[in-house]
Amino acid sequence: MIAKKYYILLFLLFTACSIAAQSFTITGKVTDEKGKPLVGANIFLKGTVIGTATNSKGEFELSKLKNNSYTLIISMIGYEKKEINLSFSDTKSQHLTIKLKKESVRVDQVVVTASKHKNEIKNLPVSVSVITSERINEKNFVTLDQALRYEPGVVITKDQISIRGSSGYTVGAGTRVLTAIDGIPLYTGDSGEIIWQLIPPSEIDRVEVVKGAASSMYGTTAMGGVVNLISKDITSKPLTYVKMFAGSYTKPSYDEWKWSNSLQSYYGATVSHSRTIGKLGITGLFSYFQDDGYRKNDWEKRYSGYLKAAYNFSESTSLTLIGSGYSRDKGTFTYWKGLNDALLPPDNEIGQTIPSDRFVIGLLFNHMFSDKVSMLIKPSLYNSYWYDASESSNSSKSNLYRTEVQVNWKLAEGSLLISGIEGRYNIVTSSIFGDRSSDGFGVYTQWEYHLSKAFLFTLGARYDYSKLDTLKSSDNVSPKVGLNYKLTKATILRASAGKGFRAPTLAEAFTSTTTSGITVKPNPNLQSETSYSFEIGVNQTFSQIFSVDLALFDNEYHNFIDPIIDPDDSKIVFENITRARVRGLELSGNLTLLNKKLNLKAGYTLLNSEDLETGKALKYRPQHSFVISGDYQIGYFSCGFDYRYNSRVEEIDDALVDFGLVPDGDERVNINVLDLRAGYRFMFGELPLQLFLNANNVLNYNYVEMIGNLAPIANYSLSLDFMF
Amino acid sequence: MKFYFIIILAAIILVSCDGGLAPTEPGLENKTGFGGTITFVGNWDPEITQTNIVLFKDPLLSEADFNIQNLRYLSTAIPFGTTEYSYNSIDSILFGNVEAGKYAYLAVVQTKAEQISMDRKDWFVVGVYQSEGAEPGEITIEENKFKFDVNIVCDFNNPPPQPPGGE
Repeated sequence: MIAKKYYILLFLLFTACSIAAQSFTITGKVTDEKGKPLVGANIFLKGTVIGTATNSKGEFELSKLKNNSYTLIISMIGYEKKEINLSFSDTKSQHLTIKLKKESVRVDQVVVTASKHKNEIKNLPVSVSVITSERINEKNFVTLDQALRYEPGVVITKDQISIRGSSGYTVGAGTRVLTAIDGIPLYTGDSGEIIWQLIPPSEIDRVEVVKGAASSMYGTTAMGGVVNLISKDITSKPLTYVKMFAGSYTKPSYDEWKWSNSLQSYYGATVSHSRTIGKLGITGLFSYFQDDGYRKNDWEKRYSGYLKAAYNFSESTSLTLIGSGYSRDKGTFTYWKGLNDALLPPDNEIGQTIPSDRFVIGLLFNHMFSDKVSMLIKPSLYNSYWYDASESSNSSKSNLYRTEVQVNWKLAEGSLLISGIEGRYNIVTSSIFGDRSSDGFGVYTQWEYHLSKAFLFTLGARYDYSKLDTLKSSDNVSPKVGLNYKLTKATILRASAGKGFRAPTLAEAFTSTTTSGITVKPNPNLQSETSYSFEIGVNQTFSQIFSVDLALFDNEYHNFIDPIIDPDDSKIVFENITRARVRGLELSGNLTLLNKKLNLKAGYTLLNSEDLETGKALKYRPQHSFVISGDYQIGYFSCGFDYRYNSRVEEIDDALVDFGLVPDGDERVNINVLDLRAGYRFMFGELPLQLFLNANNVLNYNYVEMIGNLAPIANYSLSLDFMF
Repeated sequence: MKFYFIIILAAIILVSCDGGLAPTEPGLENKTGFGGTITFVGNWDPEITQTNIVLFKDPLLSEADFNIQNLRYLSTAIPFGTTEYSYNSIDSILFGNVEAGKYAYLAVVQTKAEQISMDRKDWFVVGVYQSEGAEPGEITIEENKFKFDVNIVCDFNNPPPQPPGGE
């Protein structure tokens, strides 16, 4: 009798396990309207964390699905999003053929950065723009700051980013724009600077740029905005990607600047592989880059590695690891020797190098408690080491640990609460900053509420506490309010007001060094800087082929941190300027012509910056900036151009020139840069190949972004990539 | 119509651009002089006090030829420890105006002396200019024509033959 019960129980268990083990598979192919496979299209199951991307043939697979009905979301930048409802009744697998329509005007792009959840740009109360992976690849950008130079409202001075005039330029000092990869911050623990070389451009799906203060969500360093690099998804089927490129700089414009008998070149190669095995997906990348440099002693050699691994525990729980690092050796070139020797550094820098090793590693643990509540935990570590192999022998090692816990809670239909807590600890061992540590934490919350279908109201605030070694601790509350109103289907109004804040970096407070004749001294009394930012904007779609966006902004800065030269001892020191103001407008537009074959994109930014103490403009802020890009595509052939103009900056570091530290340092002009490109996509047997020819600065226009630093002269490159 | 827009835009860009920054005194190529790169191979002797480029009109056949009348160009001091040094006879000038003509000896010299003198014994040659088909050190400067790529390699481990009079 007992044995019989035992067998019945076993039978029931077996049956239950069989039912529980039943799983479903969705396979498919995503193409454009003409049937051309779309590579890298995103496929997500709505309400889950499960997703994938299409491979080189446009194919995808989602397997081991537990439920018998799903809503499939298919999206790709440049194409209209599609949702498909699926149910498995008497079959365990389904195969789909999905065609995506090309978007004419990209106002319904989905971004994640502005409000820390997926949201369409047209729903946001702030200005956001997106750079696609397609553009990054076509232009053969070696680092992503090169791509940002062509975004309206963004100015890159050498390698430091400024959004709407938020920053100028200071060697080795902090940023006012938070840069992150999948939300994991990417600034060093010692100097707080962005190292663009750390992230391989080929693994980035898109770059999201949030313009204006974002401290209410992101805390310190997001005072001027956020640049979030969204990594590519791991592919479901094995995919190997190979890219090779080589380029050469032309002769300098003047014989006086010629410093070598041979043309200087640059080249690189990248190999990556992505695949999913069961519940584990993995992407690994290795790349090498070498640049002889168009300037003497400005060479670079760099090995990079990148790893992304994701494990889906269930439909509601996943863990993703992202790691990226490099080992680099680079020649030293701080300022030119003089305008007559614009491509030469001072004699004492010849032969000097700055080797550096850096890596960032982060985890993204995502769990959905229900359809309404989800949680994201993001611990990360940024390790940075550099050594100045010159007479100064300066070196610095830093470890920045961060953890953030974010909870998104859908209170009701049209009502979403995003809350989080973030902590950080930073430890630095350095010959110029000293042995220092800093820590801090932040708590934030933001409520998004649809007052009506057309009216979105956003209200949020963040509290931050910051302690920088021996400096007095500081805290700050950054509130923000935003409105988005769809006046008509074609007219969207937006407005936002918020407070931003930035704690000084260890470098700004404690640097004590002399290099290239320039001495920097510490300022133990440095305080946090704050800003109040306001924006109103309108987005107007005139037809399916033409749209414009206008934004007016006003940023008021208090205790603005800027380097000055102390007249008593001629040393550089970071000080709090009492007040500064940056006002302006940004006008951008998209135009599609010739049956969507020709796309034009342009942007103009007017910037009025002012140090309210002195009445002068802020340093390194061009008053007028203009960018225009054009792309023409016919069949497998494409070509395009990019032009950017920045007016001559009014104010620079005059003291560096007056004290003779940068010979001819006041020599600067308007910036006029024209780039041309052509591409050809073709099949070599079963292999899809892409070939791009880029001609950068074709007019060989000579200009500086940062004083005493001639920007890259004309150069040409050829790149080839394929995947299998 | 649409292409006209692009053409007009391209024309505006091209017209609006001059060349941008230029050397403060352009036209080096039309000046009488020479310039190039000095490359140093090996370790610098820590006792070196000064390194210069020198140009003599007549050959250094005896110790007496190493004199101020024969010296026609003396560069500014090359920084200690440098691996590469770019110079030109117009900017990097401490002494002497280079005139057009044929010169017998262009070299890089070093001294360990505390005080700079024209005593031949104080100096030793670490690199000599060599142009194709000419004697070591020989160089010809043309009127109103700048001679580029006058490069000299100084191999500390393999010094060149020394002119008479040295130690």
